[in-house]
Amino acid sequence: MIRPGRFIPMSVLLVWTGCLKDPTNSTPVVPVPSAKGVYVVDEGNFGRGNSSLSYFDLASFQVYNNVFTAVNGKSLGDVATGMVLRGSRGYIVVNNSNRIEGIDLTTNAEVGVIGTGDGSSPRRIAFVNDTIALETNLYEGTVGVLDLKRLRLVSRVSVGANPDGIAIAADRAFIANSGFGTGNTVSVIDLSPFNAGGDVSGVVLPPPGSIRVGDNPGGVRVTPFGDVYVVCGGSYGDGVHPNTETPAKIFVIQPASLTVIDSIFIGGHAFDIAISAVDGTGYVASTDSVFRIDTRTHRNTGVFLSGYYYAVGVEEVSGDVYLADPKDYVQPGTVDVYAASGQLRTSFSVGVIPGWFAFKR
Amino acid sequence: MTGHVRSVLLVLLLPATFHPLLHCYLLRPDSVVAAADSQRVFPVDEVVVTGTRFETLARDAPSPVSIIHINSLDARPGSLLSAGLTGIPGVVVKSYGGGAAVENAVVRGMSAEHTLVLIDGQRLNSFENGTTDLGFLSTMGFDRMEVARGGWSAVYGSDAVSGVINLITGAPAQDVRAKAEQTMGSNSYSAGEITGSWGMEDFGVAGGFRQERGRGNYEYDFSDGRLTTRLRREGDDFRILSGNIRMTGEITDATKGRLLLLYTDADRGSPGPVTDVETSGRARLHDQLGIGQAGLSWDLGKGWLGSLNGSWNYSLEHYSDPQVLLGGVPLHSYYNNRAVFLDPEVRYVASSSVTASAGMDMGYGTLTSSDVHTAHRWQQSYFLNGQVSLPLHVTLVNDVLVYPSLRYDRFSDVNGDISPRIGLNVGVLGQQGLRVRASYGKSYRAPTFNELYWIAGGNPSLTPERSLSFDAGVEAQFTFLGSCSVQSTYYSIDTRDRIVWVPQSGGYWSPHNIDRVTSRGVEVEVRWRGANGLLECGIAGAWTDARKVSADFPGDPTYDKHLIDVPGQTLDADVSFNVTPVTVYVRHSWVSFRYSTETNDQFLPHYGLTSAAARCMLPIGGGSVSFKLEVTNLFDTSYQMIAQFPMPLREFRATLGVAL
Repeated sequence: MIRPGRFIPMSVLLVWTGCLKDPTNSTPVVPVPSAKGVYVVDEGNFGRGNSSLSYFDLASFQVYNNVFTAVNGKSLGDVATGMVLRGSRGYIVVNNSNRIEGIDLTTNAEVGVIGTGDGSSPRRIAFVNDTIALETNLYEGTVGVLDLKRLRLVSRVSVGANPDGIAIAADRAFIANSGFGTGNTVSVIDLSPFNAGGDVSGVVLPPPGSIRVGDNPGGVRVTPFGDVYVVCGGSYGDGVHPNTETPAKIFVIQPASLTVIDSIFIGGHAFDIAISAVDGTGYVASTDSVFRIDTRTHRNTGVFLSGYYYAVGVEEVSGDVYLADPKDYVQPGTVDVYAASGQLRTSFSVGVIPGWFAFKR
Repeated sequence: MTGHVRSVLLVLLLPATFHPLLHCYLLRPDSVVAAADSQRVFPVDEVVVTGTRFETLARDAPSPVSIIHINSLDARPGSLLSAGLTGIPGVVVKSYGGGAAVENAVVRGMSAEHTLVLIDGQRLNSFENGTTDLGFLSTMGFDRMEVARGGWSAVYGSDAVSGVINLITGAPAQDVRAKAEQTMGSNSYSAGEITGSWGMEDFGVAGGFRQERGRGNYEYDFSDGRLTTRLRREGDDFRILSGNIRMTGEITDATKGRLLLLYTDADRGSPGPVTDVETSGRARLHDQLGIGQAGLSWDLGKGWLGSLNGSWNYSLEHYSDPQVLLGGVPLHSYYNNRAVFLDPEVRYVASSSVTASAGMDMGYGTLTSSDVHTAHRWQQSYFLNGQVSLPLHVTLVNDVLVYPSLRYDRFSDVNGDISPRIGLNVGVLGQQGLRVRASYGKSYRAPTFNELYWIAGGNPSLTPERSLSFDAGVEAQFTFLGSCSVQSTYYSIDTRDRIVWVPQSGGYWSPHNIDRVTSRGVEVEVRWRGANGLLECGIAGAWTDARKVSADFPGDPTYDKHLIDVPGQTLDADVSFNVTPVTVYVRHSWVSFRYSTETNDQFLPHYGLTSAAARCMLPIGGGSVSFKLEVTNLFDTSYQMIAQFPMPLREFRATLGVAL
């Protein structure tokens, strides 16, 4: 006779043996060292710690995703927003982890970490020279001075609200104060005190000056002709009155005289500009198009490509234009590579929200 | 045979295998003897109101309804309402950390906004975000929770897509009672509670005051994938003050009234995700919640009953982060919700086999906020519910209960919907102990104020999400060295026009009705109580498969992927020993991995969590003194429910209570 009591231990056994097993993580591939390539910084989603670093090898045209984790066995962090390369090292800004990751460009191995402080929210980075870099702190309203020899933050300079892009020209740093859409100034820091040499931690920078530009300044770049381009994304308005929304423009600053010498109408909203070292053509990713800018004459020469892209970069030697498509900001994004003629060269899949390019050559 | 049919048959057979009567019919020639055996002891049935809006037996409900008596939680770890939801199959409490972090109940693989929370049958979910934060609501003043799984929009309207949690306040005692408790615990936790109740024949009043605070600086393990570091949470301190007053009275022989006033003020750190060893957020949440309810009920005679219930909900939420400067000013957002509801209802009990009710829900809600356009919503709803008992007394089937429901909701700012539902509950095999039930209905969720009117990207063109819910299951109650009950249910929820936030060109994010999501699963629960009440144990499990089944574009890699944060499997086992005056309670919960990305390429690993409590209650004079020691996460398991939000390692609490 079968009694119900026998089914109880049987069912418990069945339940426990039927437990779902965790999936197996796929192991990312460690890239083969190469002399030329493109780093793609994948922001990842805020709060999920799924930033990653992709590498497009320009010798083999092989794409390696999740490179940092593959080499270092740890996650890159939360919301990586920028990267600069100098010599044998690269520095990745990890915004919501409040740190700068230093890596060796041959092996991609971590060489050190620079903490920027709780709540600082580092955003972009730029080199002053081989041993000093500056990084903008979005929430803190400061620019941090980084000692790259000792891999540490040595001082901070207060600038405007919510600093975003940064570029160095004529011994000055130009910082876009976005104000999260409400700002309209560029802070200028005189970097000449660094020229005296000595320990960087002993250098005191003077208070920054300010230049009035358009609404919502974000990206800052220096053209081959020495001008500073500030991409002002335009105000999104108050959401109630349509006339409070303003269009995107590029403001052109002459760094020596610290004067705005021109502005270029873009329309819609724009985020950043990449400028070709080959012919000085700038590419601006705006709301629904990529515009081409003649940085010699400061003229918008028309649409290069229709469509929305989150980030744009230009490879210095070939002049190829790299455009980051974030898809729906959830799934892995793609990078489309176009020749300056507008011909699509290739397209490859990267991590979640590709948002920055750094070219290794 | 379709997948649905196969699953339903399996679910029906599982509890049936436990039931002695089925064995009698299938395995034993002498079924008459077995039938007589099964009737000797029968578990006492409990009355529920959730799901039907009138009293019915839990075992007679058309979908599973779990009852959690708040006084049973006195012997368990935890003091929040969410502690009582642990162990209900198909219910997962998502917590954004320890201390008094935000907690939401999620039912059957759906989201928090698909679970409707009620207090005494009156809506608590706000029009602002459609959810209820259980992270600062204590059990004080409540008598029981009823958790009705399934789609119930035909009874309760919007948001009742995957389940309803009805928090039911206790009636004042008919004499004088008072109770004081003080709890101390790890991480500077302390809580003090004073409650009292006074009643006479026709009138009763009860109330309580509670203060709870803690530093929330609990230990947790952080791993960057290479190194694991033991850290302490910072900026997670909390202080919660709450109070309530409840009154009931008989105004005339045929007229009863009730009044409830409840207020909670919670100031909590909300340090956000941990993404690095040095992460230390300083954001704070400050919530003020005020609820007022009044109700009258009349016995109109000849089977007619009338009731009029009104409620007033007020909430003011502040979110501030001194580390985030917007235009040089620290971030500070606020949301001020106010809502009133009035529900007249008439019920007619035609006979012991037919009950019907009809009524209206009339409501008005408004929101003023720093981030959302000022919004107003008028609601007019009309509903019909019924219960019809059909005594068949045919072979294998002895009675059939039919539950038809129909509701129409109309809103001033968005489309409403008509929600029909039909439920069945069938007694089979000629005995009360084995019942089969099934339900099929339409549910919906109206867009929230946030989704419609968020200044930076709300979408006023949204329409309600629409769902079809089906469940079928069986419940068996029988005796085996005590009383035993077994339930299993298969369910399916198919949601269309799901509201999803998607990026727009230009950096805007905006919600759209684009997704289709299905959630299917099986829930099983076995409970046993024996040795004259000295020993009670149970095991509950749920298997869930919740997926996005629409592609937003060709090649969408999130198509047919599991929804994030939904465990595919949960198992919960508990045992309690009750040797007067000591009660010892041990629970182990196992939660399978959860995907943390929509493309299912990252996941949070499974975890098992053991908690225990021991309580000693000694009668002294006319009252009692109690002492409780509890430990959560006994084996120091490092785990997260939501990615980047670490949960506490082992914590202790001790409570001393005096009752008169």
